[in-house]
Amino acid sequence: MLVVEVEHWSAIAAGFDRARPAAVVSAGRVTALTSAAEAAGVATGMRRRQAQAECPSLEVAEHDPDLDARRFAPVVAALEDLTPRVEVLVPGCCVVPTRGPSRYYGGDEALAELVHRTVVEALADASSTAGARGVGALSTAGARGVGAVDAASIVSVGIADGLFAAGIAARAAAVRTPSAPMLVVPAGRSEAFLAPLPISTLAEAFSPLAAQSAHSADGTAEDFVGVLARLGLRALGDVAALPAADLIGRFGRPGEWAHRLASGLDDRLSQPAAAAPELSVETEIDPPADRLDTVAFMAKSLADQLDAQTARGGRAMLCVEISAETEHGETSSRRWRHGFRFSPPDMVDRVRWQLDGWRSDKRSRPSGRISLIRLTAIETVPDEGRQLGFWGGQSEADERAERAMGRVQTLVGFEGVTVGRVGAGRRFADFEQRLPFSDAAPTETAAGTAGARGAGALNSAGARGAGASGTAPPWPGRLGVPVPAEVLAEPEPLVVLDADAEPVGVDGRAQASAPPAVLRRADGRISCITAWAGPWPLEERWWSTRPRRQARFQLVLDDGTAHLCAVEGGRWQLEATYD
Amino acid sequence: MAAEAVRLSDLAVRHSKRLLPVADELASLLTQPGLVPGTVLAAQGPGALTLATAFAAEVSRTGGWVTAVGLGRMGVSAVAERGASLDRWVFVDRPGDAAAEVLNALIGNVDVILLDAGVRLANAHSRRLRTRLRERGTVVIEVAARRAPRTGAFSTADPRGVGAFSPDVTLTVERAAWTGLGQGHGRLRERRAEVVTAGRGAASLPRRTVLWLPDASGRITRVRGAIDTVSWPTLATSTQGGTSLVDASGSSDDVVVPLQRRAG
Repeated sequence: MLVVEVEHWSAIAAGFDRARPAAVVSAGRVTALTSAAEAAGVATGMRRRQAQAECPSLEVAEHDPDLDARRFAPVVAALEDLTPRVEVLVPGCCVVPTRGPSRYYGGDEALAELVHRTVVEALADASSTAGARGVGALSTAGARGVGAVDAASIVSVGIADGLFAAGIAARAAAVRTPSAPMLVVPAGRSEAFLAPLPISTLAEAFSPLAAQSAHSADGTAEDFVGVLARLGLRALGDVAALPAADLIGRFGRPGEWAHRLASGLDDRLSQPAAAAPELSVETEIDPPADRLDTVAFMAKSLADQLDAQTARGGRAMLCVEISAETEHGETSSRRWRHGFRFSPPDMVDRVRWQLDGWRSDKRSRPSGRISLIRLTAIETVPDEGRQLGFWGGQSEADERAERAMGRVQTLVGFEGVTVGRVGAGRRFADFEQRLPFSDAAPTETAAGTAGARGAGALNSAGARGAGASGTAPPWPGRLGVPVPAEVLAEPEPLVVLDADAEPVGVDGRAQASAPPAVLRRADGRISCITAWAGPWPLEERWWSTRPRRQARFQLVLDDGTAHLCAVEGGRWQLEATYD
Repeated sequence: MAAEAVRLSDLAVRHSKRLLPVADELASLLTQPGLVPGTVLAAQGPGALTLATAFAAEVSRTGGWVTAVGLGRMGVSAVAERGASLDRWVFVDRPGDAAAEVLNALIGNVDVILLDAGVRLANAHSRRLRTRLRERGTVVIEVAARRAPRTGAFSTADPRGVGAFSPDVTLTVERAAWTGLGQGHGRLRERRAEVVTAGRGAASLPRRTVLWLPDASGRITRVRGAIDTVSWPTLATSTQGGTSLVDASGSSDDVVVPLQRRAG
């Protein structure tokens, strides 16, 4: 596996002169810079302000992935003249499987040299034809010789057994031999090569761990590496020396990754499965599209389709071939490799990059509009599934719903959007709680985890008891099932009369003075009471200076409705309705 | 089943892959085995709130989001009792004048909106939101206000005019009777409710289902056995809306005990 990388490609693609300090920033942090900026003390990962403080004359540009890809297209095209299987990892970095090409060109060293020369020439070519602007920044004032020498030091090539080791080799070469950054790790020697490297390498570029941490919710690769470092593992060799089973037992999947990577085994490459031929989707664009957006839109549904197909087989895509055809029959076909796994938006990005590059390619610019687009899964691996966060991950739907709630909060006020909680207490006003939406911590009650119990247990006594009685201590005096569906926030005052039209009262021994017969609502409506039970006394805080006493009744009225009423201090009120 | 499958509405075809789940016992009320995305249901009559909550609870339990708009009276513990996840059950009690905007923000982002029929919308808003519902697949369940004017609004013959949207399917609790409560003794135990499903398309042929809403253990289950053989308790019977079209058809009403009135 050969990795060829152009250092700080974004800065070159942005058209900066290497002799002047300049940097490319993405999300406020420096991602690429020129050698002059590096000399002035700027480093990648710095905040924009910090970088400008280090070097006040720093030119800054926003990162533009499309531009990167477009400017990189000629380099890929030049490599494709050498070997057909060039895979683009990201703009600025390509992967070439070495087995065939090495034998053809006479060994790994010869191949590395050839690739290096080809890329340097392609860059110089691009710079000289692009003139002063664009990639011209590579060679100052069009002095081609200077440009070539300059370019030679920024293109690094590494060959090793796996992608990870090869990438590290390329990076190492750039440091060790800046004049001709090429490093070939002989077959089978990857582990020895990696052993002395610091453990933090695992969280850096080319590591699937780093790529994976962007996709999963449980901690970043930095966290994981930090734990390893605190355990006293300083170098990759220390990790490789540990028994794999222990690492897996302690860290799970990341542990296995770490061990495999440190041992120079890259399971992404040791068992690549050629994808089944049916893992290819295509669509004809009719009428042919001349706008990139239109094609990207079509590509979105294709990517979803392909993703669904591979997912059905329980596999994730590592390498995808994108082919496009114009109405005049010209084709562009390129393989794209992903550090972790392709998601549909990733694929759409690659489609846009490829077509953008194709259209700006001077040698084989398409003469017509795009009429067909095809995505083929070239290499897949078993999908380990996306692990939800250990503390309960969020799905896309949850995020959408939460955004919508935020929007509603701007309309009706922060307090107007609430979630319910079943809390402590005996009265509805006590245990039926409402909290503002974004303040509420997730519940840990049975309601949330009922899914795990299966549908049968949904309403079973266990789940129901937990749902209805809420927090742990038993609350004697709280009414059991059925639970009233309608609870009045403000109890409604009532007048309850007996058969002789005398008010019904409750004495100190919790005895009703007479059977209640008629109920008058606050709005004057009168109903007959057809059935009733009570009074059930509720005494709270009888030990304190502010005791609360209440007697509760269940009443069924002549319209068939059932209500929960209470007498407190001689006054009747409607508390809830069994609607 | 085959006949029902043929009658799948356009919506059902468009969203057929994702009918929203409903509990098995409630599925018998519908013509589909789940809630069809983009449709409007209305629940009315005594027990409407429980019925609507039960429909939405299964969606919430299986990971969907539910918002209750204008239903401040809905009891939290009753929602938990139905098995819903309180984390994904949001209340917007007083949408006020912003009702249309609130619904607009919710449609497409939550799975079920429980809407109080007292929430009114301008006709133009109502039409536009209805279109958006159809496109985005959110289900609205309108809950009729319990204290609706006694002008026949609960009649199955005229499902319109209940709430902000005209429903595709109307579930009317025609009769409901609680048992277990006596004269000064007992406690509310269970409620038998006769639910009539009416509406458009496959639901245009009204049908009756008798449910325990809820039964003695707090669950909502179907009443087993033929309707004719089970006599209605005479304790307290409700015929909301009087004689509707469905009643007039007299399908199985011979044993219905007339509304009892006691002298006040």
